[in-house]
Amino acid sequence: MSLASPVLEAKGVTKSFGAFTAVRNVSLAVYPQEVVAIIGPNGAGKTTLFDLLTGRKAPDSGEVSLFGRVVTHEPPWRRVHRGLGRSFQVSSVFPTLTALENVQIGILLARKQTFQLFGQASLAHRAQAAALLDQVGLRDRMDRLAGELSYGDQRALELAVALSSRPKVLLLDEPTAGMGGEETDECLSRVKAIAAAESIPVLFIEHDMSVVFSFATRVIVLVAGEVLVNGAPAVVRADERVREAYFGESF
Amino acid sequence: MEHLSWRRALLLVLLGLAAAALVLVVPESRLPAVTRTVMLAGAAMSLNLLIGNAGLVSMGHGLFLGFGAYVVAIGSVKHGLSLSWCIALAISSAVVLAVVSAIIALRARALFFGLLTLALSQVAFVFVARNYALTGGDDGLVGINVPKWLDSDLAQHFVAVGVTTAVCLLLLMILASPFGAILRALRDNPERVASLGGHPKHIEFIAFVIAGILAAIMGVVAAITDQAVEPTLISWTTGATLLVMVALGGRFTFLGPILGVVILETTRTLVQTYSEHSDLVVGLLVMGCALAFPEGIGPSLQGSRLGRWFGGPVHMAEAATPPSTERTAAP
Repeated sequence: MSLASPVLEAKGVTKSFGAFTAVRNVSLAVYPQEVVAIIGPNGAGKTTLFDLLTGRKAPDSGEVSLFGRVVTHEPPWRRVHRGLGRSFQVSSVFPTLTALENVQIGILLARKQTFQLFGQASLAHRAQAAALLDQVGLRDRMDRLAGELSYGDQRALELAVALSSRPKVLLLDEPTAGMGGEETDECLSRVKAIAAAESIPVLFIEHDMSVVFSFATRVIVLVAGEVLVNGAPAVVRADERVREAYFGESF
Repeated sequence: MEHLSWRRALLLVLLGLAAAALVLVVPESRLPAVTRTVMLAGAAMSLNLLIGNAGLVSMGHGLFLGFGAYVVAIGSVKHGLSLSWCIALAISSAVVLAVVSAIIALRARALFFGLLTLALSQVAFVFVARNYALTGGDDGLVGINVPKWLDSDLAQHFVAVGVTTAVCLLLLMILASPFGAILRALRDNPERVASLGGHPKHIEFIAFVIAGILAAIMGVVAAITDQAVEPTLISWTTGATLLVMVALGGRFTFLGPILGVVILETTRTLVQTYSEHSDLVVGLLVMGCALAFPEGIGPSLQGSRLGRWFGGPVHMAEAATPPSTERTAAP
């Protein structure tokens, strides 16, 4: 953890759905250069917490701030313009557009060129979009329809689209879900390289424990909506309570 | 993504010239019906900005068409204003109407958006039908004054063709622009657009306002070419008819709406001369087409020679693979 001020911070956020409290009094912070993993069993509230951070949902209580500014009740699109990038758990690229067009749309939206009624979208930011696809290894497939790409390629495209807004902090929801071992490694080394090259702090949700411990600089364990442990991978790995929460799962 | 090219623009102009040239083959008594078809084609094209491209199924597009026509008629018949004043008044007040109805209708989503547009157009219809002094009630208004050069079926046909072609060119440009591309992206995945920094409601708002203004312009054309208005133009049946035409022609193709208008209007007017059951025939035709071409007729022409000439180059890229109706929401 560095001494700099956090890029993204949650203070005591709580979110309930009826009688069920999905996230209870969670506080966390992401600092520059960090790669923070959120782990936890199914239903621990990981994705809900992500939704609170990105603005898809508003917390019942507590505060979310981005680069020192309170954004608790700001909609997602406004947070994007403050520098928050996000990828989704279920691939949500635009299936009827090509890979290149997917990234072009992302760049147009991020640059607030949404309401340009003149000019050609298909010619906009081609070079920059192609460069982003190159970064995630999709350059040779950039004219294929996104819906026809393989699953792993769609996840890579998802990453390129998330990067299209030139985010200053990146939130990835299970970036390697559904990938094979080789694909997982490839995807992660890519994320790692990009995060290091652009010095973007990353907060990611992950199920695969081996992934978490080889990649994260800090791990937050969420159980039943609450933070159980928050510390360096080695500390978390050694923690008795974490072993208990993950009873049966091997580290 | 939609591509804007000289070839496509040229194709539209050629199509317009062909529509204008119809005066050479169509008997004089039939010309007003053809002119009306051209006017409806422009209105259907404006509606498809919402239906096919924004995924907003508006059922009350007749509101704007009727509004444009009524402002011209009231200005001309009741207040004796010159036609250019009437047109300026119609278009500027249509902007206000489009903004207000967009704010109201876009408060709801999907089905209830459609119902709100329907309700808005029905409110306008009741207002028109009840205010005899202003609107002529059920009888409508007759005797719209047009300049001498416009006072012939021929000139009116050329005006309708010219305006509709201009509206189509404008729509082609908008659909190829960043706004058009983002509008279709929003239709396919609103959540994703929001997560990339676009405000879904603002984008839909602009689309709704543009479509409303363009429909009002076609309404002005209707008033000029008919030199009369009647309240069915503003009622929900007009909106529903346009909706059917768009769906029938193919909402995921650029020229599909025109195809739908031409097929339905031609069938209706032809059957009308021989039988009083034209509505029944048109109804059966719609049913048959809906069963045979679930995506509309436009996309199914794509492989054929006719399709390549008529629909091919101006089809939207999506036509080949219509977007899935399921919206993938991230859990």
